[in-house]
Amino acid sequence: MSALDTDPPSVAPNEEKDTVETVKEKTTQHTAALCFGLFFIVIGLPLWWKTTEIYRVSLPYSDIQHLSEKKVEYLTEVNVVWAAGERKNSLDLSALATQLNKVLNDKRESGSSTLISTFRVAVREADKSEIRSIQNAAKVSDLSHLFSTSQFNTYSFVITSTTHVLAQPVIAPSNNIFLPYNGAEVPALTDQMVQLLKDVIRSTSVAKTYDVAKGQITQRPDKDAMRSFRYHAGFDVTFTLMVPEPDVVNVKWDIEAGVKDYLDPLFASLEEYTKFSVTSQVLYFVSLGGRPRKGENYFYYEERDLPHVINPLESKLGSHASNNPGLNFIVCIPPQSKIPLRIQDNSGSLLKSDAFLSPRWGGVMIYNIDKGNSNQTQTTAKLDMHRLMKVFVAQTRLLLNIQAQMVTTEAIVLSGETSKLHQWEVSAWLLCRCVENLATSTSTLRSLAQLLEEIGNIVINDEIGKEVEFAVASIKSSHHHLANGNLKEAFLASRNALKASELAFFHPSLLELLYFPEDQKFAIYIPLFLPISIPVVTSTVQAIKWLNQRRKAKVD
Amino acid sequence: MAALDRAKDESDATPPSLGPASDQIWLDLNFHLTELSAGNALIDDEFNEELFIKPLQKGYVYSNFQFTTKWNATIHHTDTFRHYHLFPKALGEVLLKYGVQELHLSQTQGLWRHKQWGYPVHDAPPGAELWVWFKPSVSNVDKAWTDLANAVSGLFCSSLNFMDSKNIITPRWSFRPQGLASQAYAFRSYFMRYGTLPHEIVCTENLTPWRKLLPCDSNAGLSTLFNAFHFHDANYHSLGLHVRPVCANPECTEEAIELSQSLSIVTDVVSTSNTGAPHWSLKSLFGNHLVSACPIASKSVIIVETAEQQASLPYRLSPNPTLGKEILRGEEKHNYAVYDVRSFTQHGRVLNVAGTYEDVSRLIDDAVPPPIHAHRYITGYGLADGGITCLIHNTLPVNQSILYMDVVPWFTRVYFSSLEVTNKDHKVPFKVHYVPAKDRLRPHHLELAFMLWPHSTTRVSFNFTRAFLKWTEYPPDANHGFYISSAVISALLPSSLEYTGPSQGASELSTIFTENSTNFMTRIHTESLLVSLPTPDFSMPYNVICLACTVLAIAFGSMHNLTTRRFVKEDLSKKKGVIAKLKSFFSRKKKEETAKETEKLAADQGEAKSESESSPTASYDNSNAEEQS
Repeated sequence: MSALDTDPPSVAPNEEKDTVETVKEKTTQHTAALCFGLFFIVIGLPLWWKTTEIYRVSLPYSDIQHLSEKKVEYLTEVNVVWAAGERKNSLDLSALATQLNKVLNDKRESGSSTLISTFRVAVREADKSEIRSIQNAAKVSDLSHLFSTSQFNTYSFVITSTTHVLAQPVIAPSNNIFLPYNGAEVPALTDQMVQLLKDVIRSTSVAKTYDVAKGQITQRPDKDAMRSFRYHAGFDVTFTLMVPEPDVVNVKWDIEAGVKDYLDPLFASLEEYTKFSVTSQVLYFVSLGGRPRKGENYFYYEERDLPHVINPLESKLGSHASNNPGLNFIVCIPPQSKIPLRIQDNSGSLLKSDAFLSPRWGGVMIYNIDKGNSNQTQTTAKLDMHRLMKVFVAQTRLLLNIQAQMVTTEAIVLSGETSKLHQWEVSAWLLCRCVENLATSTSTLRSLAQLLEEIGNIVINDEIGKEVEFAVASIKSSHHHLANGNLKEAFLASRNALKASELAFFHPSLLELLYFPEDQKFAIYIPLFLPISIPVVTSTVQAIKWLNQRRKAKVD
Repeated sequence: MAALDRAKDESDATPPSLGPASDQIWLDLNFHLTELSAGNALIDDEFNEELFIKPLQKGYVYSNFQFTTKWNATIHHTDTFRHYHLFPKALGEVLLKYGVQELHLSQTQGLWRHKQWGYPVHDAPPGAELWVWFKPSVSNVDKAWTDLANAVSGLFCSSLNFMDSKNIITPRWSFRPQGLASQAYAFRSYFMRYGTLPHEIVCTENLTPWRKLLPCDSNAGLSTLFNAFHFHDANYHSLGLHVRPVCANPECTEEAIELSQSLSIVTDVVSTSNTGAPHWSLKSLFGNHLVSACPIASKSVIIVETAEQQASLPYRLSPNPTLGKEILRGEEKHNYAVYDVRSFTQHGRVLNVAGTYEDVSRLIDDAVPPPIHAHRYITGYGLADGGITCLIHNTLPVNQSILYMDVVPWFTRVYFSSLEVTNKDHKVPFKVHYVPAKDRLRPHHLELAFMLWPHSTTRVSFNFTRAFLKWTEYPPDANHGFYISSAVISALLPSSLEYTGPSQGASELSTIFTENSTNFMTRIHTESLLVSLPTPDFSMPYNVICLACTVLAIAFGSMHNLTTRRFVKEDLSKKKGVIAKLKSFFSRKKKEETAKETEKLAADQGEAKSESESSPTASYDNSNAEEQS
């Protein structure tokens, strides 16, 4: 077949006879070529686009960006009740209020850059019945139920006259601080109050938690931040008793009663916010790893040995049925050849408690049982649950970041009979966790948005879209509640935000199409696209050239 | 028809539900244990370890470790699973989370040869088998199964998660709860799922997590004999794990949870020994002596089944057992030698139980096949059609009713019409429960109840055709073939010939000495099968894409040419051959070069040059155009 290209009229050799017929024929050809081109542009391209398109729900990128820049503001209400009787002339309540307001709201500069705390101060005089009830209090503990409030963000200062009951500042369980008036002037009094308030609401800890969760601290995070778990909707608490020689010393423990008496009150006060499931187990023929060193008449682990001590236990502690982080508490009975077994800290002195804590993991306690010289082949020992639980409750508080570090040393903290948390402890915990959740979920969303913008291959399905929307809405509502002082609502919203943002970020569908190599794509396209597109494109180009020429000819 | 109905009735009655009478208490072997059990009285849990050894024919020795943990708590209470003592927490959490009432798992390497070896304590198919009864409170059983299979695979490092809806079934007759269960629950198998993985390989990584569930791990007691090298060198080894609710006391007023872990090994002692004699000892079987009993165990014994009446040659056991037992189980007499490990390993002594044959030359092969044994195989040839045939032998002098269960994958499409059960060319009446497969959703599930005639071989057979799989459904080693899991034959035998297990109500082997049952629940698994399916060349899809695209491109190209090009009759005088074209092309090039050189000189040659250039231009355009088309 000898087909000759006749498109460029000037070049073709058969172009001498410019009859009407050839012109007509040419028109048909070029129209056909144009139709092909048009067909591929109008139908082919959209079809190709549509079939290879990656489904992506539009996400509120601007909202996410906005949220990550937004400052978090929380409101604390401070009520000051003057119950110290006659005031000196120089002491004016309104002056106290102004001064307190000024100092407290000034403090915001010292805190985190994007975390703002605001205070609303109200000062009033106590009425007669209140004064009477304070005076009637015979013991410090009688004060605990006075001036109680159910609001988590409201704190009351009761300034009383110094009595034998109230010689020192007293922090009562339900967000109250009793301050015996020592006749100081307004600035001194204000400073004392601000110091106490800072201790109680743990503002530095809150700011630190927020900064760590946001990733703003680039250097190594401090011990406090590393020790405690981040917020989770559930924790698995496991108590493990290690009996290395059941044939020599058999050990019994009444862990059920121990947990019920000592730990359940603590967990009950956080029940609304996080779930704890407590289990216990006994392991035989298991011992701490490493070799204890020999002391004078005892054996000991040095502080630097401790990380290696718990490694061999790990394989027996995990759970196959739960995704929650686990708090592991281990009671280790040393073998008879190694008693008494102690722990020596870096300064060379022996620890009194024989217990240590592993950050974000749990605690270990060594429980020495001396069998003595009894000639019985096997003895049975029963563990003292009070001794165990005293240590483990303290460790739990540290691991969950409930413990407050007091700056003012002279204040008395009223404690209850059980390990139940005080309202001010719960308040501070909620605030800490709330800002932490907000920071975490915001940065999770920001990372997700960044990831999705960078990698175009990722499918974003409706479910992810919904989770992201929900997370954004929850963060917004949490911000709103915080600024208005509704701490509990703010926390619950932040919890939802955290959950939704994690769900979106770890959604398995994100990974499904991530790996689709480009070379395979082209290996499929080339045998079809290349042979079709080359003639179509060249003929279309020729046709367009021809059109232009004809138009020019007409104009001429 | 009457026979058939009876078969059905009997088969339904096969699993004796645990009544008060069926639970027996250990009385005999309480020698030196009084002290310790007093110490353990405070604790509700009880742990026993047992090793059962039975020399088989042809120099094989069967050893079965049995570890039984009994936890006096009810499985139905969620608060139960909080404080663990001897029961492993890792397993308890899984049971609680997925609402499991009974769990039976076996992981096996090798095939148990019933004809030569008799019946094992726990029969298991090659590969993995898992069957679970869920609590009635579980609302979505299929989802619970999926999650449970994933959790259990994590727990035992196996690939049980591949047991999805494509290969699990709900058996109707063959499986009943092994532990305590109400009649209404037991006879509606709605809460039960059964799955197998015939190609699952069992190795050390499965043994380690299994061993970790034992209270003494492998630090003391019989578990110190665990030696992965010897186990995986054996002809057959099987790990079993069974959890079920049982009675805590003989009156059955309290419930308990029983965890029974068993490990069976068949070792070929003749080929591994230097002498070629079938002498065996703990050291030759496991590579070690026994130095201790697990101090937590309330009972630690080794039971050796000594020669039965029929056996040709008695062998001598050393050291002398604590006591010998002669037990009548049904009609058959069984002899056992019992070693109390605790008393043998006191004061630092070691125990190495050994069996020595007095005269090896007199050993003859006189295997007495057990009452029922089966052989299953693939029939047919080629890749289109095939069939499965199972020969079931009955050596008893009486009729024996059995249940036959077969699970066939969806891609071997069974012709139900071809199903027949024959005995010496006579058709055997049978009752059938058949659930046909759905492609990619569920397997064929066939259950038959029929009678085996005395001293006869019954043949179950059906045909299938092989389906085409989608190319993504083939495994990486597609040409290896596809496994069909073992068929399960359940029967209630009147004879204890070659029977080793305890009665169904108990897991501890030492209950054999006190039980007085006359019926023996037997479940045997046949061979698993391997079928090859039509397997494509796996580069085919890519080739097809390329070919199709090329064809399409050619078709389109000619159409495109036809519509967008003009065809003109060529002037023949101007037509040149390819060689002439090339010649003129090169000559043109040459001339161009020379032209460049002589540009300054060639003023008068202009006419000739223009003449010679005009024709190559045209030919060049021609070739260009042809290239394009």
